[in-house]
Amino acid sequence: MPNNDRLLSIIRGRCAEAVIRTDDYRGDATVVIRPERLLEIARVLRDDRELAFDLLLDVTCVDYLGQQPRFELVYHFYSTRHRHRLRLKARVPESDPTIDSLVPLWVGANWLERETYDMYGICFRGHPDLRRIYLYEEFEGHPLRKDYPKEKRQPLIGPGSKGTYKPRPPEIPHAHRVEGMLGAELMRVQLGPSHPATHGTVRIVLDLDGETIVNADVEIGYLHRGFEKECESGFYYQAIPYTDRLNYSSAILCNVGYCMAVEKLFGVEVPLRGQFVRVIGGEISRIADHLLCIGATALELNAFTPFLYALEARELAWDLINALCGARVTSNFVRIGGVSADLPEGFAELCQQNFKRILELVADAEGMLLENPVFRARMEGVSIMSPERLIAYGVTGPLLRAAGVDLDLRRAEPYLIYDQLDFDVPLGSQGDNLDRFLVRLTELRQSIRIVEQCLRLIPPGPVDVDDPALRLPPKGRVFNRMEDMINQFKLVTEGPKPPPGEVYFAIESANGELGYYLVSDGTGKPYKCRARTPSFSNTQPLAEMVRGRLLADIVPTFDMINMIGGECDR
Amino acid sequence: MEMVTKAPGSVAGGFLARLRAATGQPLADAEAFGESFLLTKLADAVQWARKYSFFPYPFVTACCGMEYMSTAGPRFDIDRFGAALPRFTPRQADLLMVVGTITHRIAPILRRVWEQMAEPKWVVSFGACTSSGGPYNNYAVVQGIDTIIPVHLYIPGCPPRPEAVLDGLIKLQERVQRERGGQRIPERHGSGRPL
Repeated sequence: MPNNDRLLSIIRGRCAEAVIRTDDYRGDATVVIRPERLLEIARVLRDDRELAFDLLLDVTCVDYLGQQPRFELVYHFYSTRHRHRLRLKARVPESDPTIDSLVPLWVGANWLERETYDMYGICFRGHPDLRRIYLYEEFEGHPLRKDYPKEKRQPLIGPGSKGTYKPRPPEIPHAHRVEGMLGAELMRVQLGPSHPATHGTVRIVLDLDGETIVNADVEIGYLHRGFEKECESGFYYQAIPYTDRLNYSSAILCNVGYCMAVEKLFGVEVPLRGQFVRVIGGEISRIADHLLCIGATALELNAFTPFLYALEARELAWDLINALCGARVTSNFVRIGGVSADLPEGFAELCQQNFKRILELVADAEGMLLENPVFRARMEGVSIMSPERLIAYGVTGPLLRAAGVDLDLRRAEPYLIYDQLDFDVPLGSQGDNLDRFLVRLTELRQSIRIVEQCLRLIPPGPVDVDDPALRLPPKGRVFNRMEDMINQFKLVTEGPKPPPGEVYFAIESANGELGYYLVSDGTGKPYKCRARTPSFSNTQPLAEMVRGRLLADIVPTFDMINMIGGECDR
Repeated sequence: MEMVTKAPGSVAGGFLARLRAATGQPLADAEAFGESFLLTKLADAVQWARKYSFFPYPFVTACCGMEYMSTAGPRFDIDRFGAALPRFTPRQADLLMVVGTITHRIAPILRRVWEQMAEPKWVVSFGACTSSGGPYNNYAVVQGIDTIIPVHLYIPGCPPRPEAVLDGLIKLQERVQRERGGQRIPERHGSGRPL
């Protein structure tokens, strides 16, 4: 555990007059600062040798309607060198919701601040390109403000539309008329939003000089479906199905992260067997996610057979998830304070059998791809980005590890039982697309190794915490004992009520750091439920990765980023 | 397919006799053909061909795409039903599969893709989100694609399992068989608006 007291005293010492107060709640170090000093203090955080917060994880806002000042900007930082975290908060009033932009310090702040502007209407002074990111220009208001009704729709077409929508040619503010090599104008090409290789949810507007990309503008938000607004309108446990649909190719990992964040808010820990079951479910999810990424990459580079192999392997992984919880994709498996069910009978044998077949299929697919000169030519040396630049963008997960940065939260900040397990964290050497591919392949095999260890080591015992404030009593007792019936009724109708406070908890999901930032006001509903999702930060550098490269390089790069629409657009 | 094919001996014999009388040509006896031909109505034959050669346009946006891939994949193999080849241009497709949540931002694009498809065309609403908005009832999500385009088939589930998708596909095939050229079975829209 990093020493938060020391960290906070260093910050107080460096910029005493900018800091309003500091606190340390449930292991999260928080600094509240004066908003006008943000840029100055952020520079200290990044450049000071003892602090060295090089990774800006998240920028968001909390709307305290009725309080003055109304909006609280929340920044989360991580230091890859010292492995410590910090939350920075600053309040701005409703009359002038303006704060300095952090883009000059972290290039990755760009999209995060655009999102905060879109959702809350905060203006960032000095931002190079402050426009909406998830919603459309015709949208009036900012939906995550507490006074925006959840169901107030502003459709572009169909019933209720005001007829303001006009399909128009894409306008990129930063595009300038440049002449290409042959003296001709650049060609404007749209990739997406309905394109087989963009998975239907992203539009990339390209300016091409011949086949070379001069400018790329990645537009996301086509799958923005109001994750935060939905979570804030339900009880804590009602948000679990929505977390499934963040990263639908590894749903259990998203469940685990959310439930552990809520447990951190309550200050409880799941029994050992429950932790093992979570690790098993999560790692099988990771296997399915990596298989999908590998298969889709093969498909989009025109290798159909390895795609079918990977898909069959994914079916086998889904059979295991199906045995665990009865669902294939959206599992809804983890509960606050436990899991929905213990391992089924014969699960270890089923795992053994399916893993054997998965490894065979993966080996076949791997051979077909890696020994194929076309595949190698399109992956090797393509879209290299330096580790420093990736970190500045806030990239985590396999993408960052492929560039040689040893950052895996399962190892860096072990949660659940990962410190008791033996596994390797694969690192790349070149940081090109092939490294990204190989890192995923190796991680997949390591995940199988983790599940096998867990099945060997799993102790007997309960999987749920024995806390009537969190878990529903067994059905048999509900119908026979008055107290349990009341307990069930209270839990279902009022939800579990954590003490007021706020926490951030992150796990290593299949694509990188998946963090949840929860603010509790003491009621059964989260006041703020923010998911810091890896796909969002990982997609941002795409434009820079492909700039100057050929049009055909977009597809493998985009595949290796493995953008999942639900996670990116929330 | 409706059984309109007839064994050569029974009705076809009478048909051939009438044909011989009408044309004055020395047509061979029905028995001479043996079992080697079928008689049907042209419209039935066309619909029969259509229903086994869907060219789907997968408008995939979200989670349901995972199950769409499984349905197309080796285990469930949609190819058995003649709907294997996805076309990624609406001009070549006749079955628009809307797979995954449709937000207000992507709705105009969906509408445009549908408009670009040539007749005859069918629309499948794949999963809860496209049918009704599913778990999402907020500012961003369209509450059912039938408010913007006509839908021929709703497949329930969040996401539907591949078995449900195949069952839906068979139901759509039955419907296509019943359709006649130029006389479409009227679509039912949730909104009740003319489209």
